[in-house]
Amino acid sequence: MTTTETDFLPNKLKQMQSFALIMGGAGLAIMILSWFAGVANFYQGYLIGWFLALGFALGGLLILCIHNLAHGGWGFLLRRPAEASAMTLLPLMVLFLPIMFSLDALYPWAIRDANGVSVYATDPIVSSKLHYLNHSFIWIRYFIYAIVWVGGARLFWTYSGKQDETGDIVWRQKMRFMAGPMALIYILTLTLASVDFLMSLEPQWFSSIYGVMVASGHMLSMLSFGLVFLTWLSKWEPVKTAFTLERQHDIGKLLFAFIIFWAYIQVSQFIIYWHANLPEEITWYMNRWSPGFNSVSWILVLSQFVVPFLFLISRSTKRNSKTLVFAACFLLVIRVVDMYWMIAPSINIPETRDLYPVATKAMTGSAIHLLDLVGVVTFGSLWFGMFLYYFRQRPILPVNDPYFSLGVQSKEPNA
Amino acid sequence: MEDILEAQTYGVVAEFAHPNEVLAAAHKAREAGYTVMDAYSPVPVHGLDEALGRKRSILAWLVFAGGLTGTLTGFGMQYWMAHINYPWNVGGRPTISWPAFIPVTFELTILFAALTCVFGMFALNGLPRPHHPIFNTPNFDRSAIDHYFLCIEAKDPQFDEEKVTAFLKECGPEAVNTITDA
Repeated sequence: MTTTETDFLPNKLKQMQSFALIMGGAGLAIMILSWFAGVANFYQGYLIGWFLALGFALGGLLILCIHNLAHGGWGFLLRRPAEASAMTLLPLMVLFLPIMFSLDALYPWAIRDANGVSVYATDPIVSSKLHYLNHSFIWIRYFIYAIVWVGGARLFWTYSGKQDETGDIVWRQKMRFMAGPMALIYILTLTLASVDFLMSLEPQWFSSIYGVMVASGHMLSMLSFGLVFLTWLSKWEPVKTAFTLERQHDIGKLLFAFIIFWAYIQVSQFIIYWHANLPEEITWYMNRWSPGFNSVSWILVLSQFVVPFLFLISRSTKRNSKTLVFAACFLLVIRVVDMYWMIAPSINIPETRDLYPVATKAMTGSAIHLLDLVGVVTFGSLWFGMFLYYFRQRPILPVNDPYFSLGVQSKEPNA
Repeated sequence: MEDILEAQTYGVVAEFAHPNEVLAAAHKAREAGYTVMDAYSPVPVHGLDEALGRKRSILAWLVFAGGLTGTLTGFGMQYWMAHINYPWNVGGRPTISWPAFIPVTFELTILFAALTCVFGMFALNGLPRPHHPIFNTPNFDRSAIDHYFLCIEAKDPQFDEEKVTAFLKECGPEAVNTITDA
């Protein structure tokens, strides 16, 4: 197997990158204009779009950790997409700054009265959380997340690049050595970040499994995208030879596993809150069960678990490129619904409005708005453009990895 | 009585030193029209199932059916207990509180599917079985070490001991033996 490529594919990728970045830039311009025009829904659309893109980037980082620990043949194909995806964390963290500078537009705990005291200072539940949820500490955490995530992605990227040049096994060992600790740091930081930037939209609510729920969604995003992207790339060499039926089946099985994992986590959380039925805990589900949002909940349960589970349970659908890619595309669309479901009901709180002294500034928008869609398209395109920017810099397959030929070829029928 | 006890020919077994040889022999045998045959190997040889013309096992469907039975059993059991047999007011909830039924339903799905998988595998493999005629093959111990065996069985409609022996000898084996089932 060689990495000789015709000019066709690099040119095609370059065109797609320019197109995606132009789309994303145009979307961003619309978002900025709407911000200047004072459209309240700007923040909701921005947050949904940003978290959707973050899912691909952090999903890529987690795949790199798992691949370097587990050494599967499937990982060699996903490695370059995952590396490029994780590299987009730097621009993504910069793009989060608008939210950081206007925390009080989204997060009720960040709203301060004229004396600079949080409006939750006397709230029996939230007041004790204000040691954690306050402006200075969240900035510190934001920088920690940025340093850890971007640093992890850069290390993988650098080591992998060094290995590509030298073919020295020492870089493989370095990647392997950092993968374990990185997986641990990843899940710790992601749990805290989910609490900070998603869960604290409803500051009175709490759930310890929340971060894992977000992480399983990230894996769904990146595995679905990886399947679609690799299948598209397999029209041409070198992926055509390397992306065999067995490899496709492997990634399909992983995707299937994470569909189940996501549902398992969701049900674990739901059963506990449903059983206890405590007013301060059940609000999260009440918001998602209010008129309008309950149909989104149903769509999510059916489309991110029931239907893909029954569809992908068969071996034949996972081994058929068309059906598997169809399922992956479907899941990519549902990822948008998932992000909307996580964020929008918390911002447009209908049920808890009377229970908790929520400030009004963030709550003036409507539940669904054109800007939600603009946010998704903007960040989807921006992320894809940035992804291609990094992806184009390296050979598509890590052929100089000492384990590459072993991992990619060993499981093929030798007939 | 003697007729019954008399040993019947079980098949002709060829012994190979290399996995590629047994794979090639299996391909050739299938092209020659033999259908009832089996291969014995110390390690998985990829592509051998296809070469032997093996169809996919129905085990996956059995496991699915087993899992579904578990789901229905788990849910049905709780439905019957909580709603029909002994309705009881728990925290003012309806008697059919399906979220509370999920854990047991889930567990029984896994249990039934796993048991179906293990015992279905045994049943489809014809296990337990104290003895198998293939162990009459000379040198068969090495099928667990470093040699590969291909057996064309007497049940094959095309089976003819001399022809099969001649055919297998062409495949470059270490040895070819006719074995009986006694």
